[in-house]
Amino acid sequence: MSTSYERINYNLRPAKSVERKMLCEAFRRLLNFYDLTKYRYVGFGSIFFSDFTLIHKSLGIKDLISIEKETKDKKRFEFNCPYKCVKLRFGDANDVLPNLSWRRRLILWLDYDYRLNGSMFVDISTFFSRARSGNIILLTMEVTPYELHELNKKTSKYEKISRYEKLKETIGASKIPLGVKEKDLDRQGFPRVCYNIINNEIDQIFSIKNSVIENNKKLIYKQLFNFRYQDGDALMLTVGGIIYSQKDKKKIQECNFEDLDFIKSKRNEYKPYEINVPNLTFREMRYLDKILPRSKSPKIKKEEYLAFLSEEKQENYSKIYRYFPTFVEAEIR
Amino acid sequence: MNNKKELLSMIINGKPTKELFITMLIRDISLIDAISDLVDNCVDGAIRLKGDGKFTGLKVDITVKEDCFKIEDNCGGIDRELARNYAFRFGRPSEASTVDYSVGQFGIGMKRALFKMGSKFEIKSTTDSDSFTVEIDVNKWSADDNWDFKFKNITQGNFPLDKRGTEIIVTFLNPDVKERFKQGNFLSELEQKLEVQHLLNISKGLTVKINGHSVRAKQLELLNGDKFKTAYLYRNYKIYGNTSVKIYAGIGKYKNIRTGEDMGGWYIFCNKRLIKGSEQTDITGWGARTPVRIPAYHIQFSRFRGFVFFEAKEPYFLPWNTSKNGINIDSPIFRAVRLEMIRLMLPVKNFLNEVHDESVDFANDRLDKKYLQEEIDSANLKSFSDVKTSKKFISPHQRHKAKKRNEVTITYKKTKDKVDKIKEVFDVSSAKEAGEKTFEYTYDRECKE
Repeated sequence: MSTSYERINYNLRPAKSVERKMLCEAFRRLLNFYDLTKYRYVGFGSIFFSDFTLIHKSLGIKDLISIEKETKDKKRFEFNCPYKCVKLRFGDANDVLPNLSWRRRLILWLDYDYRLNGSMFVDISTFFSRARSGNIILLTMEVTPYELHELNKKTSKYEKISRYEKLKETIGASKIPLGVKEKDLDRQGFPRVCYNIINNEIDQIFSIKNSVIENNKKLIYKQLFNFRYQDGDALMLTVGGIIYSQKDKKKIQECNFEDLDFIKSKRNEYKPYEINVPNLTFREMRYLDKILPRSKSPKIKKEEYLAFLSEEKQENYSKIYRYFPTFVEAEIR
Repeated sequence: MNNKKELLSMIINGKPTKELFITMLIRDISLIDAISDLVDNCVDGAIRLKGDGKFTGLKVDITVKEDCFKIEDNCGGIDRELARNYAFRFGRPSEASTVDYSVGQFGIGMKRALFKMGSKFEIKSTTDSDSFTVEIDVNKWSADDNWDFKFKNITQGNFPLDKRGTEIIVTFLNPDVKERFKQGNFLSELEQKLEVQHLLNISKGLTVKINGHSVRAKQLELLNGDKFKTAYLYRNYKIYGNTSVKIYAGIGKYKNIRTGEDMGGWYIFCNKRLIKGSEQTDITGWGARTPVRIPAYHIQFSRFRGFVFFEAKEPYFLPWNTSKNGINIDSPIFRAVRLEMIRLMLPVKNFLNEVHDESVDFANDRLDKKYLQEEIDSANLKSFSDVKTSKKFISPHQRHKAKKRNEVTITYKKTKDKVDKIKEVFDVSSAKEAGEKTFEYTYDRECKE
């Protein structure tokens, strides 16, 4: 069974690249209040370590750990490790996370490349049970609905189980939110269901943790991120936020995260920030750049339109132009 | 005068305190079980209306919100005299009439559940001839020694069928209850619990909703086919109020341990209410030594399904505890039934052991097919009330002998660099293969003719 890094070249995922840059921009907002260089970053670097490179270069974090479960390819990972300060820990996140030291403030990005499953709850639980003010958690998972060939009954190739059954088998009936029906697990609804499941889990663990802390030391979880994007054939969801204590409340408010248009902190509704990376040529992008950023109205003026490009493409570009990845094929002598 | 003083000092105060109920007894039950208790009261109303018949048209609507809890039903309401003299007493007076085969019997369920949740209650009831409201403020009520409550208003009249029922609203929720009600996972767990605890009532047509979402009817299913028969036993205990018991022992197909939901074990019902399930301890015979030896519960028994249905006109005789989440192991009826349960589960345990052994043999290449597993996979699942039964559990038996290989395992340790060199020499990638190759090499040169 091929590993994900053998199937996808992580450097070539445009939406993911945009997401990464947006996240870094959000993290930078903390610079005024927390010394980011004293943070630790933990993630799943795979062989490309794209997030690690970005985090180290743009934020200056010097304590970086990449958790890797493909232990048989150790040498390859070690070879591709970009900086001395990036350390590898081999094993499953379930096993590695509890054994890390949680002394430093932490940014944890659980970038799973598969669908929701029970072991994710363990990692969430580990994070929140060691929560401290200033810690950030991110969870990325696939939210493509279960496909027909994945719904085969174990015993018979012709009999199918429902998507609901499959979800129940994977995470247990008591984790499925009240009122979820089969039709809620289609392409439209499955991301919302996964989002709710993750948030329910966060709420529960957080509540248990907070219930034994004195009032003035209680922690608060503020959601910042709720992304949705297409990654090749897979539909992806990223959800996450920051934990802070009452006394840091002012600091967090002054970070002014909501100034960034991709921040989604309302949890009671499912309105993710959609990252759509349009396919444009260099010339088209340079033309559009000249009229960006918009000063007043966010809409493109009629006369500035490139008539042959759809309005949607141009709108999408204007939303993310600052994070737009550039892929160049070049031989540099 | 002195005598009277002496007489008075001989008296010891034994009066119960209100604190006992407000703060202590509420600990004997979990929040979800408390809500289930309230549903039981609705079910009793349903039994009062329909007896043994279907509950179609009857419903229980539960609303769980951060600032209030509400449960309302259309199961007939509480009779005014019942309310005045019995329903609000702490404990059930012996002269109170009961509903035959009811589930509410200790006189404690409703009060305990309400005290557990909050400090302000409003109970409205409408029967065919009267309607009343009772409002209780726990803080005011606990301030003095008076144990009485007061009707807020009582009206008499002829009330239409669809208006007859009970509504209970709890506000000023206790802080930890408030916290739990906020969580999505709590609602999921509540749904799961109610689904199982009231599955028989729901399958009789009772609609139970939580925040507008209907609780599904779960099925108690057993394997059914030409080769499988579920064990079934019926007993009636005349001297214990004619309590009857039906025991089923067989296997289900589902083996879902990955999500932590191990469904194997015994499910005990009292008057159609699930008390304990899936029970996997010595209480239901796992690990027993008499009358036969049964091993302690183990994952390989996760396909085991045992259902025990106790029914009694008077719930007093049933072997349950006051929280209805446990078995009264001292009950003579239960002790007798337990022996029967153990007897019935023996052939099932033997079969599951055979299935396990087959799996191990197959994994070790001693069998080329999982015959018993195939039989299981090709059988159907049917509701317990529809399966074929017999006096004891019938199943197919393993007829294929595991190939006995005359093999011996050789194990030894050598340093890594030496093993790596050997691997290179024989062009293999594992230590196991290196060992096998070296053996063959030596054998070919030294032992072959």
